[in-house]
Amino acid sequence: MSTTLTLKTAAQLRATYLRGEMLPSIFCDGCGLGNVLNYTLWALEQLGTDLDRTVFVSGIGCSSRLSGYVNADGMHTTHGRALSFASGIKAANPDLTVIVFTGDGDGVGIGGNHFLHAIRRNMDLTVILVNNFTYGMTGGQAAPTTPVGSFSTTTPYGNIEHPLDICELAKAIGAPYIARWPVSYPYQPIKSIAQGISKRGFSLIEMLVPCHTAYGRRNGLKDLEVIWQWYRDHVVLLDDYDHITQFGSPEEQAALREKIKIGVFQDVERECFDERWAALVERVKL
Amino acid sequence: MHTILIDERWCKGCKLCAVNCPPKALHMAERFTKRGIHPPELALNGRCNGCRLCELLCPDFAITVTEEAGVHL
Amino acid sequence: MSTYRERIRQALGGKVQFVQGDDACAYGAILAGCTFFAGYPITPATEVAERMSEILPLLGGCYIQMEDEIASLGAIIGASWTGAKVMTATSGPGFSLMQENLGYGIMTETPCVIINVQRSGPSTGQPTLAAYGDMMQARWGTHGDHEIIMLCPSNVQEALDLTIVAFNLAERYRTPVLLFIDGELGHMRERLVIPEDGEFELVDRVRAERRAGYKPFEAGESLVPAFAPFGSGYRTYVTGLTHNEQGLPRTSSAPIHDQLVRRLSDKITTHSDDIVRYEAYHTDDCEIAIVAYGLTARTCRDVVDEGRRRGIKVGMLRLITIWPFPETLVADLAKRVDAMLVPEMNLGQIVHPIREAVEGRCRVKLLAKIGGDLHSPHELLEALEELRCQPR
Repeated sequence: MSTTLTLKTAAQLRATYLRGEMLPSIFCDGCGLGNVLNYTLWALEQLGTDLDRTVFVSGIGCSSRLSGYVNADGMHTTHGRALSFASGIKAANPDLTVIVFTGDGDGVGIGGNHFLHAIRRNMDLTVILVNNFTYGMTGGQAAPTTPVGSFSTTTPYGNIEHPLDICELAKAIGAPYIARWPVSYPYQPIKSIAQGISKRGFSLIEMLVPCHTAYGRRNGLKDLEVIWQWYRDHVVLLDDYDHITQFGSPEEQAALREKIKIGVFQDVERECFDERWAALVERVKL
Repeated sequence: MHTILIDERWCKGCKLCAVNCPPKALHMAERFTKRGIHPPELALNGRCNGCRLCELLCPDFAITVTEEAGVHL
Repeated sequence: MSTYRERIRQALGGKVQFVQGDDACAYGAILAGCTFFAGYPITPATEVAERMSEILPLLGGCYIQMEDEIASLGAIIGASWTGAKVMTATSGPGFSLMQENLGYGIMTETPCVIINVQRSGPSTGQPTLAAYGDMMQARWGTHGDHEIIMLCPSNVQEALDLTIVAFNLAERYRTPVLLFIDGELGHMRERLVIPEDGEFELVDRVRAERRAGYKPFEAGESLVPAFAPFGSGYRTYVTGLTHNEQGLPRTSSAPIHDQLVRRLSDKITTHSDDIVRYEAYHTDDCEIAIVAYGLTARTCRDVVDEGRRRGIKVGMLRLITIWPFPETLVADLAKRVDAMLVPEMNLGQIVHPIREAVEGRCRVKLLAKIGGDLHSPHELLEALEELRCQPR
């Protein structure tokens, strides 16, 4: 894989990849969803992906509106069900590259079951899951990822439920490629998205995206600069995490409890559904 | 020398570019765009090193840095 | 190398078979050109999935067992957008789960076929017995204004024949089509003759021909837009949101929503002559008409014969297309008869649109039966006698 971005300007990039009539986006000013889209486009550019053979699938929610901005085949489906539609597309036509935009609520809340089984089947999908700790489109309700103690419109006294670690869940079921990055790091997600698209099988790129409007506002992180800084302060690279666990001082180790691990969680090879189905057909077909 | 072009139809004035500019070459303009926001502008031309971070971090695809240079990952 | 149609014959086996209604639905789908099936096991519809899982890989198609019925309908809608002919099969509880995606299929004009082998309800009900309790759910189950196409076969042969018709209607009108049988018909074995290729029609959705100026949801006189599958370079955006002809969301526009939703309805109602199928049995001179559908209509046919032997001028209108409801047909019949007897294996569902069509022009008597037993000829005859004795 090339490690140099081809020298397109952002203007060229958006002319190539975006539906101009859909912009400006519907997102709040400063919303990192635009960054996620931006990074995805750079990854596609890096890979030289054929947009005529790529389908962007999404569910419902802020993040799921991303599919509509890309000038390619796209499917904006029902809430939580993007992975089932995407599985159907991929299984019916394995030659297509299928990229899914989803959110934490869409992907692992209402759509949690599809998430488990798409990974179990190892459908060859690239899932870019935007985690913003909340249901943003509906105005900031508690999500399966909302940190304990956080305030939302439905946890006015603080959230008492334990949040879900999406990457660890995906790892437990055996997704061949898993990475998590905050939007404040542009280069790593571009690489991970590109690696995910290249990977045969299910790849998950969880993007930590600050939602200053619906989440931040109720949790002392209303200001964009402040919430971006919160993410910088609350993430730790997997390597550093392991290092601190082994060699860190008790204070450093205690601080880890407040931090979200980022990095590439898994990068292995595992035969995917369409390869196995093709082999089965080869064995039995008339 | 690098120039920064802002697409004022798309810029929402979120300041992410200015806040994250490593050499602090960008600042938010006093003037209003048609959308009613303060767009970023290059305050100190000489300070821009063409890193294109603003272009990458702009969530609204509104910034173009014009310079023919490679960005190594 | 044999052709695809020849391989279909080979995969289906003998021309004359003794099989269940569920099997016949699967065979019909294969004959119609179905290459993709996604489903989830549920009594009494599981055999449809079982047959599809056996046959599809033989033909290079794809069978995928999803994690639930929501995902099953999602997967076939996705697959349909690659250009494949697609189907899923379920029973009442699964059909309930499909309602949201059914609306998505209607809104996005996605051809697909859904088999519902009905059982009783509410809830888990009687999983192995026959019922027709989902007739109204089929019509109004998904939210929002819409029209739906639903067919109801009465025997195993017709289950095959009408599954082919269901695919053709789905392709022609670019909409989900429902084929409803019941647990009894689904599990009943009967003689089935697999028709030859020339003996049935095969319809494929109209394809887009020119990329320049293509609007994926622009419909001409037919009210049905031309289809461009994913991967063909047309770059279609498909959304369940209210969208313009380009397919892009326009959720705040009253005229765009009005135009879109009315077109989706009109493309079905204005083609009802093509969609509506029925069978009239001794209705020319009848004074009492039995209006029946599905399995119940089989008993009714014999009851008409027996009634006539007893001197009752009885006939039967068998509804094959339930939705769109053949209102004119029923209204015309109402002008000519004294009474209608509506036997249903539910507490009265299709009797409502019947009464609406009749508008008081004749008496309408519902003979409701639930619990899994079919209407006996005896109780149907008794109801006929009662209707005959009642004054006009």
